[in-house]
This record gives sequence, C-alpha cells and structure tokens, in this order.
Amino acid sequence: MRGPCRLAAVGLSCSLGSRPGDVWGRLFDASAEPLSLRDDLVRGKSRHFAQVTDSLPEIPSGLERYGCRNNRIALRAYEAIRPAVDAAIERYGAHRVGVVAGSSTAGVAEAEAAVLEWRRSGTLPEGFDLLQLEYGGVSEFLSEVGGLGGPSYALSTACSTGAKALASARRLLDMNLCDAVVAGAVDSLCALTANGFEGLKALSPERTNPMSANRAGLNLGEGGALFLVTREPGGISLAGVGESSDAHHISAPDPAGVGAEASMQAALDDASISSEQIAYLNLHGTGTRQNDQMESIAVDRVFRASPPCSSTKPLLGHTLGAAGALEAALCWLMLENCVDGTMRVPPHRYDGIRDEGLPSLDLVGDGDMVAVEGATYVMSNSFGFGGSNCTLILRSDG
Amino acid sequence: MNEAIITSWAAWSPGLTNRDDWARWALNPTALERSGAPEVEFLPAMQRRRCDALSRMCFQVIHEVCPPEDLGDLTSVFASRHGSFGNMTGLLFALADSRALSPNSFSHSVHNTQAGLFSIWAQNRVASTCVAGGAETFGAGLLEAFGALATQPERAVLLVVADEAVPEPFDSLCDDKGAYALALLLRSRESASGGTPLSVQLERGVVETSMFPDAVAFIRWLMGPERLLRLPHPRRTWVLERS
Repeated sequence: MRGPCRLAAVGLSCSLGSRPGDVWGRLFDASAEPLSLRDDLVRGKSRHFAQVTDSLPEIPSGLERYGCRNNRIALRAYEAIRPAVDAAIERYGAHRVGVVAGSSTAGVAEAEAAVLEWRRSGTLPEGFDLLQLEYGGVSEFLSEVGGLGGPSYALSTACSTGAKALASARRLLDMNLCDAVVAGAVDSLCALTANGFEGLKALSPERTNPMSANRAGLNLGEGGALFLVTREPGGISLAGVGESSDAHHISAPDPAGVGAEASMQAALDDASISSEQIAYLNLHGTGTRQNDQMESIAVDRVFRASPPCSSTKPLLGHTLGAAGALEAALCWLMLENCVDGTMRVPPHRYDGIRDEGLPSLDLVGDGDMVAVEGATYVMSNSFGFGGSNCTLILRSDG
Repeated sequence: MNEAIITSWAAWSPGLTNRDDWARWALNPTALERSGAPEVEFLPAMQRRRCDALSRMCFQVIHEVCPPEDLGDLTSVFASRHGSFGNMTGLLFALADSRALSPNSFSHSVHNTQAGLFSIWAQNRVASTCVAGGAETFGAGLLEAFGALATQPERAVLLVVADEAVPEPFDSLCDDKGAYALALLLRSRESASGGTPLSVQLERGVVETSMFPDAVAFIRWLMGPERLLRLPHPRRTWVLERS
C-alpha cells in the first residue's frame, strides 16, 4: 500500500559546501569555481575534480573500524539531519528508524593505500578494516552514528545508487518495516575510479560541457546527501519513482535512450501526473557524447515541450553513486526556497554552443526563474553503468 | 507485506552443484570450498568470456531457477556482501604496481555488474537493485525482494544472493571464506500457485557466531523439516518462518 513519503530533512556535503544554505547560494554564483586540478589521481595526467574542501568531522571514538574519507563525508552530511533523526527516534523508537545508504566507492581510497602497503611490506596497515571497503560498512556506520536499530543496508548500482536508495526507503515505509529511514548516498574520490574512467576515455581535460557541441567528457566529483524519509503527509515529498534497465551494454547507455525514456515515464505514471506538470528537470547530464545524445532523445520523447532543465555536474562534478541523492537534494532546495510563486532553478553552465545534432532542450540560463502555483513537481534523472536507470519526482504542496 | 512464496530455488558452490549434493551436505555440513566456478555453457561465448567467478555462479543458479522465456519479465534483486571482489582486488594491485587499469575489468567491477550482465543476457528491461549488508546481506536482499513484490504483486521477483571467496590480502579480515550462489524465485500469495510461503520477522540482536553466511544456513534450513530459522546478529535477529 502506497502512503505519503515525506523528505522531511536533508543534509549534504559536496564541492559547493556542506551546509544546505551555502550550497543553495553557490549554485547561482557565477564566480564560484568548484573544480580543482589534481595530478595525483590519474596516472601521468592532470584532471579536474570537484572535491569536498570543507573540514570533515573525525570518526567518533569506538567506530574507528569504519574510518575512511567516505564515511567522514557521510558524517558531515548527517550533521544537518541529526536533529530530525533524533526527533524521529524519540517519536517512533530507534528500532523503527532504518538506513538505506548507498555508495559506488565506499572506502576504495583506503583500500588502495592498504594494498600498496601490502605490496611493500607483506602486511596490511594497522587500522585498515574490511568495513571501510564494504558497501555495507557505509550503512552500518550511519546506524551506529545515529543509534538506529531499524533495518540497515547499502545499495550500490553505480550512478543510479543515490536515487534508488530513496526508492528503497519508500518501500521500507510502505511495508511498515520502518516509520522513518535515513536514505541517501556518498562517494569519495579515489585513484581506482579516476583511472578507470580515464581508461574509458570518459574524463574531460576541461570543465565538463554537457549538451555542448564541444563536449569532451565528464569531471569526477565527491560528496554525499542524506534525507530523513518519513510517512508523514505534506511538505516536500517523493511523489514518483521510475526504475528500468537498458539491457544494452555494461558501460555504455543505449544510444536510443529506451531505458531512460522508460525510467522517466514510469516516474510520471507513479506520481500520476503528466509530463507538462514537471516544472524543472535535473539532467543526468554527464557531458559524455553517449549520455547527452541518449538523454536528450529520451527527454524529447517523454516531453511534448522540453521543461526547463540543467545539469548541475559542471558544479558538483559527477559524484557517481552519490549523484542521484545529491541532485535530489538540490531539487529539494529548489522547492524549499520557492518564494511568491517563483522557483529559482540552477543554470546550465556550459560554453553556450549547442550541439545542433541533438533535440533542443530548454537549458536554464543565468537568472532564469520558473513560475509555480500550487503543487509543484521537479524531476531528477540518474543513469548508471550496467544500464541501471532511476528517475525521481519530488513534489511540494506549495 | 513481509511474506512471499518461494516457487523455485537453486544453489551452487564448488563441489555442491545439484540438489543431491546439497542434500548430502545438509546432513553433515562442512565449510564451503573457495575456488571453482560453473562452466555456464548455456551463455553465448561472448558473454561467457566477460563473466568472473561471481557472475558465473549467479548465472548458473538463475539458469536453474527460471525457464529462459520468463527471465525477461522478472524484477531482479542481487545481494552480495563483496561483489566482484577478485576483479576489484586485481584493479587495486594494478594501481599498486602502476599498471594501467583494463577498461573491461573496471567496467565489470561495479556492484551491479551481475545485474547489468543479467539484463543484457535476458533482455530484461525491468527494475533491478543491488544491495549489500555485511553479514546481514541475505536479509537485505529479502527485504528488497519483498518490497518489490509489495509494489508490484503481479510480477515475480528473482533474488540472487552470492559471494566469491574473499581474495588475498583481505581474506585474513573476513570470516566468510567460501564461494556460493543462491537464487530464489519469489511470488506474492495472490499470484503463486503452490510453493513454500516464507515470512520474515526482525527481533532483538544477539552475539552468536555462525558457521555459514546466512544464505547458506538458509539453504540447509530449506532442505530440512524445521519451521523456524533464526539468523542471529549483534544488531538484530532475522526470524524466517515457513507457514
């Protein structure tokens, strides 16, 4: 039985900051330069990365086994929702508060250092624990940090992870296994994914330029976003979820965008709305030719007229497993900050040279606003390796 | 809903390749073997070449649990504590040795590798989810599968729970050492005709050491007469019941 699914609180940490207010402000700051050039991640090359530059909290005493950068980013994101989670524990009991926290990297960076040390000395470094590398370590860590006793597990489906974690949280509520769920995803920069994407020729030597004729690939990023999801009505809610599989290729999307189209359409059907009701679309928008092509074709088929849309990856980087949660968090902030029937939407930062070979999307320009009235819906796309697609629709009652 | 009907199941571990093997093992369970993978000759050669040990084990049990013509319509849930761990460890060694990463190995190191390969093989365009939950990975997979059934009661769910042996140098850090795969075909009560009803309850945790991963303890229980299976963990105990 499908009940209300409120996104009651949000916390995040990314290249634009670790406080929701900071991130919201910097989304519109044309002078913000969230990328850093690093030569220590990809072998023999300098590449742009969108990294978390805020100070990160230390791993709490007693939880050292979970100690890795990924979990410190998770903890930073958790800080903003901690009061809401504590209130949920008070109201429902700790055993009724669950966790679905995803990642595509977990603590791979720490495992890289551990294997290097093992190569040198034949022993793993003291302090390294498999819990840092296990995906399940991310969800366990958050359960421990929050003192949560409900079901707790990790989800990992490459770049659709963060979106799917919210879908799973909704199912746990609908099954009445929880009254509140901490859900989201976190990823951290590491040499493994950086070299892997470089090997696939997916990394851009410049700032990523999605939907441009001059696009040259993606920039990797890191960060995380966590929501407290509850069964309460009202506020900002998860109104629709669409999931599909491409059945096409392990590391490339279906060029015809069939899976992406199915994902968006399923989300609309789930929310019981028509495409004209979508006020804004946050594109997956990685800036690779394959993504831009298939996503714009799919959007063109689902929407009779393109909604205002943008990719926020030129600002946050492609945060892989965290992208679906982080971009949902940005959508949440847009809905939260609607004033006087106007929604401010983040501009699509690129060089302005459209790829004329693709269906034309209504890319948001600097200063663009969207007029809204009553219930407002925004959509976010996430399409991952292995052809794993997930589209979310968030709703504000206005 | 926390109930599903098991309409079919299949399991594979090195040396335990059919029901008779598992029945003998269940009477006198011994530690699972670490190495070996099925031949998966039913897969096209191109796809077979892309499969690591974990993918081969998963495809073997999927092949046994469901007729090929039905595979395209299933919701799928893949649960694995470590995923393609051998492949991942190979990439970590390549980095440590300053070698280039193989694009093919990298593409197949994501946790949803088996889900992606399954979708391509079965031409399945339905939703698919991949979870991990440490020692409670089996329970995580069950909850996802039950959730999928609750959302779409008319559509059968394929739950695959599998892990490779933990490779060096990480094997000293983990108790789960053997390789295995389990596939369950699950239906809602409304859409099933026959099968084993399975329900799940969560109870208070207890500290107790178990000899096998939960999914392997479950296989043994499935072949025996007991009504209840308790899977104890420090944070919670999973209580499975056949009604």
